[in-house]
Amino acid sequence: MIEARNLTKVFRVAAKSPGLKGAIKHLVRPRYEVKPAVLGINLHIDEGDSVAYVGPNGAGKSTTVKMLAGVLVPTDGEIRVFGKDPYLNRMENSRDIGVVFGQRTQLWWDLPVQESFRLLADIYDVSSRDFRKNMDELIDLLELGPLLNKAVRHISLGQRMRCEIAAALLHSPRILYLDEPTVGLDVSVKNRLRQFIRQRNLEKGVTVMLTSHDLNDVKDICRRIVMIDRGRIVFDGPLTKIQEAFGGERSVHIDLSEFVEDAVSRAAALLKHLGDVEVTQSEPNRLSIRFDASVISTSAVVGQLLSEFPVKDLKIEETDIESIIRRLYDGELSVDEVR
Amino acid sequence: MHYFLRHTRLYVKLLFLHLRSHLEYNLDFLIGALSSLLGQAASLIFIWAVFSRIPKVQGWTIWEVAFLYGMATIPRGMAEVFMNGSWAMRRLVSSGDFDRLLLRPVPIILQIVTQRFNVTGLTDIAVGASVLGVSASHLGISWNLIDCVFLLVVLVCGMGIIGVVNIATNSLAFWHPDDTGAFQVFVVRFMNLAQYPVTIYGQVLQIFLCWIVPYAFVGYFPALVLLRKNIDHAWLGWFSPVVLIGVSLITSLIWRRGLRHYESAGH
Amino acid sequence: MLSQTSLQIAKIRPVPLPKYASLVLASMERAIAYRKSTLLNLAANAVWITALYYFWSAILSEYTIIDGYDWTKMQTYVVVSYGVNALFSLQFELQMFRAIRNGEIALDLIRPYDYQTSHLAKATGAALVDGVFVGATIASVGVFIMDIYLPAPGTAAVFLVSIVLGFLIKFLISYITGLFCFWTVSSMGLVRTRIAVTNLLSGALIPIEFFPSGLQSIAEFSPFPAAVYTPVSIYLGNLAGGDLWTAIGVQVIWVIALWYVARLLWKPAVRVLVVQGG
Repeated sequence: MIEARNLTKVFRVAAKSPGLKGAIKHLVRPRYEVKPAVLGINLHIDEGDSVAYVGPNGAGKSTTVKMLAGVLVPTDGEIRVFGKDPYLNRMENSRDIGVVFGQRTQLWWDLPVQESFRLLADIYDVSSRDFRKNMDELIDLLELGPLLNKAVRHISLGQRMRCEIAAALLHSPRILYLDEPTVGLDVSVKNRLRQFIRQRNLEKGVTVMLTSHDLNDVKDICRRIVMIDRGRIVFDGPLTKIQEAFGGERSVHIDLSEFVEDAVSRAAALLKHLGDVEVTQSEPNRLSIRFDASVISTSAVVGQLLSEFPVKDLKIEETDIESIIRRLYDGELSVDEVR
Repeated sequence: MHYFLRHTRLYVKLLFLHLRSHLEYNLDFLIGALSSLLGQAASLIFIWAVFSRIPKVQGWTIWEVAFLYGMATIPRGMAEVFMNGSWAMRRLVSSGDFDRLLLRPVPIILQIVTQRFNVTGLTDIAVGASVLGVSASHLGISWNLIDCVFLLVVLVCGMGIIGVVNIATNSLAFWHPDDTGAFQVFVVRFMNLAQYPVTIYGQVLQIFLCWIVPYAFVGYFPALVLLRKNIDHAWLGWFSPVVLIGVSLITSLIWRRGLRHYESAGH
Repeated sequence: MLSQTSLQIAKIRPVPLPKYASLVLASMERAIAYRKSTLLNLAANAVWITALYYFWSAILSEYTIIDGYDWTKMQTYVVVSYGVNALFSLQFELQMFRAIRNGEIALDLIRPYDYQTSHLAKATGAALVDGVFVGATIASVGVFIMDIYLPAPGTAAVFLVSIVLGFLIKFLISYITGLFCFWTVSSMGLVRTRIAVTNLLSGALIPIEFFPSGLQSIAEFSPFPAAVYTPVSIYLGNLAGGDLWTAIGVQVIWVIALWYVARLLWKPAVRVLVVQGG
């Protein structure tokens, strides 16, 4: 339903040396620097999918989303959304999609929120009946009631994001693109938004494509994760797979009540017979032991440590999706381990 | 047909939306209107001062000059009211908010043109119309129905020419969104010159105002027709619609190139 | 140990300057950097001078001499008055209003200098660059292409003094207009009006002697003629002896008066800004 084949985007940036001489030189013989952003991406998203699109800054996420939305022209490759090229069929495509940009608003700054909604209904040709139905539903689920007659510039960021999402869904689009929607929001607002989007996807079958740096967004909303690094997809598969591969991970952190020499090597030697463990020392008196809890017994590890070290305090931690993904694209963990 | 109707309705809706947020700033409106009036007064006083010493300038009497002034000022005001949106281009492109326009099922140019609604343009229209009326009564020329229709058509074409030229110059924002906008202002200011008989300027300026940025077709040439002036190039007064079409074609080329550039380069 | 890096940065300004002088320099550098704007400014001035040139040429070819202004004198008048007018460029004003619009002005408010003086410093810097640039161009055009005449050395000296005073007056008018912009969003309108009114009443478009007498009196009660018309009249030799010093005196009075008006407006202006939140 969303189909991208060999999608490539390479930016040409004028390479100008500074000053008057540079300006003239550029007029005579313009030179361009090539900045690749997306290199030969293949993506297939079915209707009803909820896909997370993650990667480090500058990996090419926004560029991809913009191309899928029809806002940016690809250098090479093909995109088909519902069988049509989104760039060539700009207006048609825009009726099927809703886009939320985290940093920018599509609402009219000086007008009351409800005016923005009405205006959008006109722009998207939403029938009177559909408009009222959608409005009622969105106002109720997102609790927009008290915000409706306030001007956008007078409401807080969290309140605005709720209105933003409502605005994007007003015309009942089949696809919802969310580009960093939760930046700057506090935890409770984030939770509400995640629940709402998740529900939209599950109950209404709205296809969701989300880019976010907050991997809790990913965990709560998306079932599939696509990882992009330096313009190429490095992983594309269900979130559960990653959880299976690394989810059994556990970390035990101990605080020592007194200084122990060579603590790391002593602990490593001590626990070696249990299996594969990784020992690190983050502070002079704190040791972290990481292992796969499905292979090694947690109590065995703890027991050994307690018997040999002067432990003041102890913490057992499950490694969460966030740090797994982070370590995946930091290179610490290998994507191959997942397959 | 439905397409045309729908877009006209949208145009009106979007345009008046800005009027609403404009009227929130009442004081602003007043100041804008007042400063517009003062500006007009300055020009009119200039004309008065010149003619208090000199009965005729190159064959033009004071009332003829005033008539021309009115004919050029009305389209100016009209463009300010109905086609002022292109000045928002720089801000939209440089902030990236332009992307949002691409995500809507409405032609981009329509969205751009309705970005602003400058109520102060109404003052210009009012002053222009008054000056036109007063000078007409002093001229003793008898106009007929054809002249009236001609006047209306010419005023609308004049508005179109000014508005379309603004779109063309503001399209440069696609390539250089961070420029100061000085160039666009530079071009608009030529309209100040076009409020007076173009023949008093030298060759170079005349060519510029006729063929490069054809502001001369907004007021001057049509005025020749209505003033029954016996100048050999008076027939050009019938050509405003043609000029409008020409300028629109060129602008549409520039616009499309610019849009294409924006969509390739992102921002 | 101090680093090489900090040494290199320090070397950009070999001698520490008093803060206002430093601002002047920075403004000059900025005007040079914004070459495109400066060139456009020059082009705009060129267009207007050309327009006025042809306008008066047309009139004076028919009427030869009006009120003592013959063609040579008129050309000189046009060139010099536009030159003096151009010393304070629109570009600088636009910068000021943009600073208000995007909140840069907040920076100015927390820095340890007097806003009014700092603005004058910046305007001076821009003027020096523009002035040199525009002035030199106009002078060459005037002397080589047109027929303007040059004044006697004594007159020239007084002329220069008068220009400086005129510049201050124009700056203050523009600054006060700018302060009014704190109260409104439509600053472009205000600026455009200021330009229209200044152009007319300062004699940039048409010699004030040509005004109908009622208007002449009104003009003379305003600061506008003192900004451009007075220096130009001195140049042309219209003013001599007692009249000359009176005119200069009037200029000085206007500078002082406007300076204090600006100061008075400052507090309410800042209050509006702070309340609005920029």
